[in-house]
Amino acid sequence: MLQTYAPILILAVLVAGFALASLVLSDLLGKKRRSIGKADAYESGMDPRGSARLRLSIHFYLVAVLFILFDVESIFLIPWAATVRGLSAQGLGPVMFFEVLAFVGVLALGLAYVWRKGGLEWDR
Amino acid sequence: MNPQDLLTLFDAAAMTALAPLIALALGTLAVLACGIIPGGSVVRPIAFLASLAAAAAYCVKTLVDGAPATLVLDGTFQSGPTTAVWGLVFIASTLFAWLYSAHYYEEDAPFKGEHDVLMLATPIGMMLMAGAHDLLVFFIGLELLSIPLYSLAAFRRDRIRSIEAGLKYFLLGAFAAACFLYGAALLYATTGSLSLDVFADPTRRAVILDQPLALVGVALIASSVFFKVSVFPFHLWVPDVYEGSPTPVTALMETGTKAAAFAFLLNALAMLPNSTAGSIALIAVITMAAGNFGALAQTDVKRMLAYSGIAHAGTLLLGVAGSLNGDPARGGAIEAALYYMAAYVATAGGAFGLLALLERENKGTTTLESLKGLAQRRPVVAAALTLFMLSLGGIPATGGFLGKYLVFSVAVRAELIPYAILGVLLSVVALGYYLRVIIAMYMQSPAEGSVVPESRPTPFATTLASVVCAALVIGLGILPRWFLEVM
Repeated sequence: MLQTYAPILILAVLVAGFALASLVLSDLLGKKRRSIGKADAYESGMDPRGSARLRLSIHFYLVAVLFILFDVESIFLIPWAATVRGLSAQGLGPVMFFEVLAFVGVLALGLAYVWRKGGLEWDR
Repeated sequence: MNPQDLLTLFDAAAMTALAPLIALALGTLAVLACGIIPGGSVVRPIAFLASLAAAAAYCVKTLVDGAPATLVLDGTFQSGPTTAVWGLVFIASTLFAWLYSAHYYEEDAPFKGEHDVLMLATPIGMMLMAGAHDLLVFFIGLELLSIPLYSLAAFRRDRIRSIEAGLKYFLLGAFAAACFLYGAALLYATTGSLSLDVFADPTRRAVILDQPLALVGVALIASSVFFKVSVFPFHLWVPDVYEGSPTPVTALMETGTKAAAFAFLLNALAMLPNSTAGSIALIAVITMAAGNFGALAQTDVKRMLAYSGIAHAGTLLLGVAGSLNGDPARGGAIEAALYYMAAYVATAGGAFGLLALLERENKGTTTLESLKGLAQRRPVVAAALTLFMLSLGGIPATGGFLGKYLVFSVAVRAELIPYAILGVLLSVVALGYYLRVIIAMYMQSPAEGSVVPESRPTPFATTLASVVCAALVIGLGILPRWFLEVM
């Protein structure tokens, strides 16, 4: 019975081992040039000291959300573009066309919405 | 799959099954477009209602046609009379929440358009969840429902409680979603399928459930669904989120989300072996105890109703456990669950709606203290709230009574008698806090020196929704036959 759990154990050991090996090996093999900046906590380029409750412009979030929206759009459009020719040859042209039309139509409505609401303007 | 099959995938049966969802999706887009076209704010309510009406009409058509349940879209989506009734329950839940929200956000009125778009998107997710016959279709429905609700919970962005509710709901909801996906991945790894049919087949199920990985998968999926229906021990987020969210949104979460998750739970029961009925019933009784005893300690009515919602989830779970114990009772369980949730949508929807109305007058508070003397100030509101409290408590001649009766009888038929007895006893405990609301309204007067809020005219939408809710509660209570015959 317990043997069937072996794959989980092996996976756990591999994951822990990889993490440990990465830390130990980089410590053993890596060059060590110490400086104040390097000894500091890494905080994605932010200053790690002071209050964490900084005020960030809401624009950054808006841009990030819009980026994800239209980024995902391209992820879906690329496989469509790659397969459309082959599938059209099999008589699926109209299906492919209206399928992507509905998809792009919904996104176009979203873009129009963002545009008219002033979401694309940085200074408002 | 052969590319040519794409053409047959969306055949007439599939389009009929998807018609209510498509009506709602087009409605959502139309409501969104209303935000950018001139005169949109006038057209918006019409678009919202037309979309709900079209979806309801398609559900009624499915019921009238009376065709048996069919699987469409390559066996991933189920459509039939049961899903049609669930669809109507979801539409009613959305409609009530929307009507009560019409005058709720006075200072946030510029954002009502976004609010309506998000609200109209939720029943699409609920319907996908109720009809899902495949774990991934369920997941899409779950996210389609949850993501709008996360933002709706935080909709009163000027209030810290609302933002807190949104953040808590989002973090825990994301965690539950991750649990679900991990569970589905483990099941796929062991069975090579995500279809519920695979688990419904008894011989294959026996083989599947012999594998530890599959059991872990089932447990993960069960915990994420239990999270959504707020079953012990995944109920701790409920009071904070329900209290902090805007009250109409709380009504939608309490009724719609719960109904959708239970609809899926009834479909997905095939995953669990019959021998688990006892443990599910035990969880149900513990959930009822946690909800009822938690509610007894509350002084805020909204928070009290959140705990009461946990207790109701426990009650319904007892019926679900009954359906596990052999197939004969299973039809009874679905009927009982549908009836219970239909009555609950009207009862809890109406109760939260009236709280939303009172909240406007009382400057945001819904404490028991603020209800004192309400019978003199607003006799009609007090009477309606009394009706909803009695139905929540399960007093005869209300929909809540028959719902409880049906659920407990399913449990008794499945020989879960000790649990049913405990459940009935816990329902008596529940009366303690429902009656306290009635006592505050009718038998107590406001404390000396407290400011009595000014009564304002009740908005038409609130009156309409409350009348419909009250009529449904009484109608389901004294004429249950028409509802039960529909199914």
